[in-house]
Amino acid sequence: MFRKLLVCAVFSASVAAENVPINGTVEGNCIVVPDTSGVYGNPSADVLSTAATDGGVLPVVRYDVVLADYYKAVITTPTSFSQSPGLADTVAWTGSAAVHEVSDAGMSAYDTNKIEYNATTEFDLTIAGSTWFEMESKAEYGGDKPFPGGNYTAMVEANCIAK
Amino acid sequence: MVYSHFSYSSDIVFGQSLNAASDGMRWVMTNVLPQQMGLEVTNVLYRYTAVKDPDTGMIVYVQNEDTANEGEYVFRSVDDWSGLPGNTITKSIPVNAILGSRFGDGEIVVEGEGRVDDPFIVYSYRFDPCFNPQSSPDCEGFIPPIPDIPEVADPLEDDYVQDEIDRKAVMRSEEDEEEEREGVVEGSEEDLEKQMLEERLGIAMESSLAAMDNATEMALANMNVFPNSYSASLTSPEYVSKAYISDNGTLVKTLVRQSRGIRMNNAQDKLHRALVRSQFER
Repeated sequence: MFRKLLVCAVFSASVAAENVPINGTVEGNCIVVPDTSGVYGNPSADVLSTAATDGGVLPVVRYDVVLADYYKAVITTPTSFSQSPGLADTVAWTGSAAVHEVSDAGMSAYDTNKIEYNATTEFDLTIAGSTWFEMESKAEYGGDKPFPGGNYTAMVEANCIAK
Repeated sequence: MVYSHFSYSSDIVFGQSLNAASDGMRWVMTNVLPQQMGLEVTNVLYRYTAVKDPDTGMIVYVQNEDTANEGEYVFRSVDDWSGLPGNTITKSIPVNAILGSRFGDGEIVVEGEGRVDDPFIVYSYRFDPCFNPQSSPDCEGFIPPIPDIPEVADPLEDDYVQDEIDRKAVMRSEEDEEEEREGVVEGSEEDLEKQMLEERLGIAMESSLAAMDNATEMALANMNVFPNSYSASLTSPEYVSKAYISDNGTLVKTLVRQSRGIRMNNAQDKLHRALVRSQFER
């Protein structure tokens, strides 16, 4: 009886067992917000450029960082058109990213410490706050041929990556 | 300065100033914030571009004097650009609902080498329009003002009038005391007898005065002080005047007939008018 009871007790205890959830929420501590859409200017038949001197508009993206020194801003300028007329020739791409505006004077040093490779620029977000980055993009059509008429769209990829 | 906008949420009014630094690096807060009782500043947002050499030192202060504590600042933000390249900075700084009246004059101060371009500073604020319930009849707790009733001056409270009243009261009491002492009641037989006695005494007094005057006159006359003409009577002769003009016809003949005179006057007037008119017609 005692064993039975014991077994029952053990049985009943195993039946009553529940998984207790532990909930938690981690707020996003790095937010990327598109600020200004870029526009390609067409200073010559075979060139599309976002530079203001070429009649373009530089795209701007804002990074809001709550925690200092935990994130990197990784920005990649376009290497292809996401939308364009059919292009028979190759397009040569150049691009860069730079600090446009800061919410703390110390962020001005991001430009000095940035790392560039291929079409990508990395900024170490060491200070909490908002930083605005502007990107420059230039596309030159191969063989000095004019770009075919039509709409051209290219994408800048802006990522916030934990260090 | 005009304030950018208000937005109403229940009873509290929220608003934002325009660019306080639009006219330079110093600004007067009374021109920036609405002069509203109980107004609180909740946020300060500023932006400027620091232009400098990366190797030089530069510190920028954005600040407001504290009207409650002289020499201190109710708001102060410091940007140290030393050893950094210049850039455009945008800062939004929450303020712990400090009364707007404490915000004294604001300024942007640059220490070191470099300059500030395109300064832009905006104050966010809020206020309760019914902070003072008397500001509007729509406010809860509004008490209709009682009109000022002009104070009416009571002439009896005037010192001079009061003194006069007291004086008369004293005189009256003295008269009453005198009458009481004499025991005479007005209109009684004793009173009438007293009046008759006074009248007789007055007549006697007049007679004695007249007799005294006569005696004095007689004494002076005996001393020959007055000339004789003083008491001599004047004769009054009768002057009869019977003046008349006897008309034997000569007087009437010498008079000019009136109708002739009128005609002469008319002729002279006519001639005069002709002369005057001829001057104008020339």
